[in-house]
Amino acid sequence: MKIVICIKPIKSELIYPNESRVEDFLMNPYDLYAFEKTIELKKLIDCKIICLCMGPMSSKALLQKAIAAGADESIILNDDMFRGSDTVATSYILAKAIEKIGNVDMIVCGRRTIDGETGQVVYGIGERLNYYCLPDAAEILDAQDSAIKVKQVKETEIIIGKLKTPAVVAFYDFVVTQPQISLLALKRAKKKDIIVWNAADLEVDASKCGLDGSKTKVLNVQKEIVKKPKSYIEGNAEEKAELLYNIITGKAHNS
Amino acid sequence: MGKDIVVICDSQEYDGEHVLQIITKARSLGDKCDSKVSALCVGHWDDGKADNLFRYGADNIVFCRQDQRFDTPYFVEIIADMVKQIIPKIILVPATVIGKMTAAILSTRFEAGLTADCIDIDFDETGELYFSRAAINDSVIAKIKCINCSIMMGTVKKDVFIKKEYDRREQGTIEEFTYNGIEEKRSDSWEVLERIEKEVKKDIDINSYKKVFCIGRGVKNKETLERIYSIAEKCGAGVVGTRAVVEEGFIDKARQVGQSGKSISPHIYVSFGVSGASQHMVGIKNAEIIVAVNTDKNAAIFDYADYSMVDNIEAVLNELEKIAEA
Repeated sequence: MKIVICIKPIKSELIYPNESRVEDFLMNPYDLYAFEKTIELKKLIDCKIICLCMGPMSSKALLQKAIAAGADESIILNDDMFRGSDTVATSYILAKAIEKIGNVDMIVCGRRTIDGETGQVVYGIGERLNYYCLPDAAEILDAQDSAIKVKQVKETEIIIGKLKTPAVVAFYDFVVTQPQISLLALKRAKKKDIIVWNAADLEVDASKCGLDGSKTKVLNVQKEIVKKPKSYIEGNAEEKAELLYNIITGKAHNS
Repeated sequence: MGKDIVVICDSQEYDGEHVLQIITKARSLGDKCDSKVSALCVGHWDDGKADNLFRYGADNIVFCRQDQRFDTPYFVEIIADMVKQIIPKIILVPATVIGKMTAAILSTRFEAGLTADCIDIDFDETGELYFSRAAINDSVIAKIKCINCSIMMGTVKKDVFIKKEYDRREQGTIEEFTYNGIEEKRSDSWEVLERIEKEVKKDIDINSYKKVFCIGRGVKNKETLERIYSIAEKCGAGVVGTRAVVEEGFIDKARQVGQSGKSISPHIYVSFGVSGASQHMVGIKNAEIIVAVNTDKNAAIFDYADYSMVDNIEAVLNELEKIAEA
């Protein structure tokens, strides 16, 4: 079975705002969940797992880690022409890449990205490739060559079902803990080339990519949280605790 | 180019609350640009339900009778066929799982601009339509416009618009729609083997807390955590945490507030050792009173707090424990 996992690189400060990290980009937490669940498939069936990532060349590091964690191959889609793509343009570019890979049985995605937060690309890929698209997947329970058994988590029920391939599967959850990867595995993974495809490689129609191919444009963005003037409370721990207690129990009047 | 505004009604309940809210919004947009509002429905015909759609502002109902149970891919194909015949200018869809799926597929098929989870839709000074949505975990509001396309689409969040009855002069029209497609081929890709009802025990709803204690990275051991839990219980407060402590395994993911967690709006929020990264703060921006305890005088959280307490967490907890037990 040939599986493609679509991965969006996210700026690491967006995921770990309090930490300075060596990586510029990390896997979107929803994609990471999908990735970890898909890698487990290797225990069930003979499969080839390819990571597909549209983004800057510095996403290479996260793709190398993906290989170290068990993926077979990683591809970066990078071209100036791809910049500024909205969901319509993104699903076009990803679908072209999946067609180029060829004979893909299953496409795995996270439910959405934590920066774009649309969850639309999954269905866009399914639509373009004419693949059935299964949302809310939680786990792959079993796999055969032409079908997989999936646990799907809905709001009020859990469904176990059989999904015929080819299909798109979107996992519903996210993880915030980065996987532990052994240095040896990473060293080995670094020897493997990360494939890079540009617009010419994909034979895409330029008018369908990037800003030109996008159907939406963000006009402006307004901050929503406002800072307040600082109001330090004087006194020792006892006095602070007392005020705190009075606030919680409604005894203190907001000055 | 089309002129109509269409609302894609829910596949389960085509006159549900969410749909009527969107119909109301569509009506107000329709009045501003002199467009007809059509409701696209699939399901059992029901006079009362149809009446509801008219009452809240639909001019026209396009109805495809389906008395058997139908699945989502089939629903999407019927709707797509309706859209193809109408070629509307604006399509609004409830932001449910099925609504989002339908919208994303139509957006791809008709090359239409689509904005997810809209909280507002209106015309700007120049008469152009814009869609507003919360982005980056609700920390900002983004205004989005459609470009390079003739159909503009948005999925709309529940409860952002208020449904309002519309004073109608003319009778609404009903168009019976027959779907001739054979598109069922994709539906048989998924075969349900077993349905298990989820336990009634609901996920902890951290939004039900009027008072919360929030734990941050400054809480370094389980013992302190236990004490916070016990004091919180005495004070009638719930306990939540930042991503950092969730990652430490200190508290459950269902209790995570902020970036990639949940947004809460308690009456009182008290934090212990929370640094106050904006990714966390967006999750509590609707808290009425914010009290922060942190050893670091320069912690960002003090920029947002109503009561800033620079002190050792353990020391404050010691005293708080005494008072709460007294």
